[in-house]
Amino acid sequence: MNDINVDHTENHISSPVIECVQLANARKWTSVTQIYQFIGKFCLFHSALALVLNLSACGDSSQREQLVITGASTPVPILMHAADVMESRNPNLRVHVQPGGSSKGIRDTIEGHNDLGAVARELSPAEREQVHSIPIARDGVVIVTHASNSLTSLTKNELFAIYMGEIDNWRTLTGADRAITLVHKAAGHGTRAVFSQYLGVKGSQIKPHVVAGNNTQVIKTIAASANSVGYVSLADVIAAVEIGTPIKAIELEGVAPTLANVANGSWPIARTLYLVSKQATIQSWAEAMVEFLRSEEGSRIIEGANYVPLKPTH
Amino acid sequence: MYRLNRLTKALTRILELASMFFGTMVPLSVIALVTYLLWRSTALSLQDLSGLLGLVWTPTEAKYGLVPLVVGTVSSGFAAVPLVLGLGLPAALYMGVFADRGKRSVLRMVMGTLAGLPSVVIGLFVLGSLGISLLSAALAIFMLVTPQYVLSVSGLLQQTAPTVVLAARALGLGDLAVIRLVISETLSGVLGTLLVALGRGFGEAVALTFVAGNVATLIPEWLGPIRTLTTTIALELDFAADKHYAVLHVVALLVMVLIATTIALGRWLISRSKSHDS
Repeated sequence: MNDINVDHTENHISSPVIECVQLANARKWTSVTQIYQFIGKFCLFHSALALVLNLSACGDSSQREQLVITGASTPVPILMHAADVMESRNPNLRVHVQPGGSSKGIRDTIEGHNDLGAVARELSPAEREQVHSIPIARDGVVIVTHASNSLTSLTKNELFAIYMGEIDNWRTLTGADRAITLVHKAAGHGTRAVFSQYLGVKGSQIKPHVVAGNNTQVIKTIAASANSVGYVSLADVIAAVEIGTPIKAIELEGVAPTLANVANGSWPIARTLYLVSKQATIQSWAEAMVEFLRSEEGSRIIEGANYVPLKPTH
Repeated sequence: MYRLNRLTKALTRILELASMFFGTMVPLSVIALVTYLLWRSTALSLQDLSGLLGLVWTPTEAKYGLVPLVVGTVSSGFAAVPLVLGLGLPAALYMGVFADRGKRSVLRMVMGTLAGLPSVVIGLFVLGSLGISLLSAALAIFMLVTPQYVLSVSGLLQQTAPTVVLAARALGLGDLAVIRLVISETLSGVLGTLLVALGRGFGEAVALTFVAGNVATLIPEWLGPIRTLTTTIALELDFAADKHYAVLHVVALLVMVLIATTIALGRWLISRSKSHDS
């Protein structure tokens, strides 16, 4: 009786395993020829693919013209929208917009890796000597917290104390006894430079709890942690709040963080967004982009993206 | 018939050469990559290289100490180990030893899907559920490497388990004893696979930029931020210039060496377990 029982259990446990192994064995390639057949199909497919890709690439270079813009992530919404309009009117034109920080925009321009660089901060004297800059819009940098934070306004002194670690708990500001999570941006970003300059400190003097790469990441981080505070472009905040992200912008020195206040100059942390080029005379499509952004139509696009257009020059 | 044979032979020869060509491409590209990284790193003087042993990473002040970055990478990886072992090993045991064919194929499909999840998705999920900390980083790494770990270990168990289970059941042993036996038989394979998984974790960047906090910390706390080697490259390569740019290439080289060593060690352990069985 016992023996039968053991036997039964054995079969029950091991039979699926054995079947599996048998299945795997049956599927194995039995001859070398089959392996080569497989490799052959693989090679044929890939060489055909490569041929098609090459042909289409050739077609590209002979007919299409391109405009490459790299740099600050802040003006990307404006540039993408402008690029769409320009591409729809000039079917041969391709505009590539690659964000990666203001400093990269300037470096790429100096090294000739792009046609235009995007910059979201003032240029240093050394940079001014090497590139030609064209202002395209104004933007505000605003202080952001989670939507559930009861904080509504800050003074510059309070902001300074928060970012220098002198105030590290929301208790003194809102009454809620919770440690502040300080969000900073990675070095090389224009927003960080503008913000640090406003506080009168070096970016590296701030000891944050979180370092974020781009504006989107700052917003995602703040939306995810209720006790955090950070700074980000006003345009990005407006766009994020529109889609229901739980963040809010804080009054600074009694001024409300609105586009109107950036436009009339009362918002304290405002900046000019620039396009930069290697020389004053630029590639014709780059010229077209700059002119488009300065036209009435360009101004509407800039406003639509929640930035403040500069007055059209002509 | 004869001509057909010759044709087949010629074709076989061509395919053989083609496969040899494509086969050598992979190791060659790895060598090319290492050479490129080394060449980029030559911009550094000996003094710069000794500066890499420093304890502070502040590129804007030309302080390029790699120690906090290595600490971040290694600590987040090792913090994930208890999770991977604690949750992954039982899953692998069930899949490899106890599940019947139907359940096993369903599980394999689920694990395959999880293994294929883009790391951005995992990063955003962990950020939303656990916020930013070393713990979150460990959780993200756990989620990234565990599915593949479970698949590999269950495969390993499937090879060894049937004979062990047969013998154990024949002796009338219970489930717990069977599990103990199976694990002790495959221990070095299980640990080797863990190291391979850990190597993959060391190389992760995207998910960690979201959840690690990216602040270079020398002595990490569970709920504090860390900065890993890979996230540093991801965050800084775009704007780095001159010396900073060269240092980031050293960081990349370091990541490669770290991953290669971990995986090589893991593979060695796995091969030992296999030779032990046969």
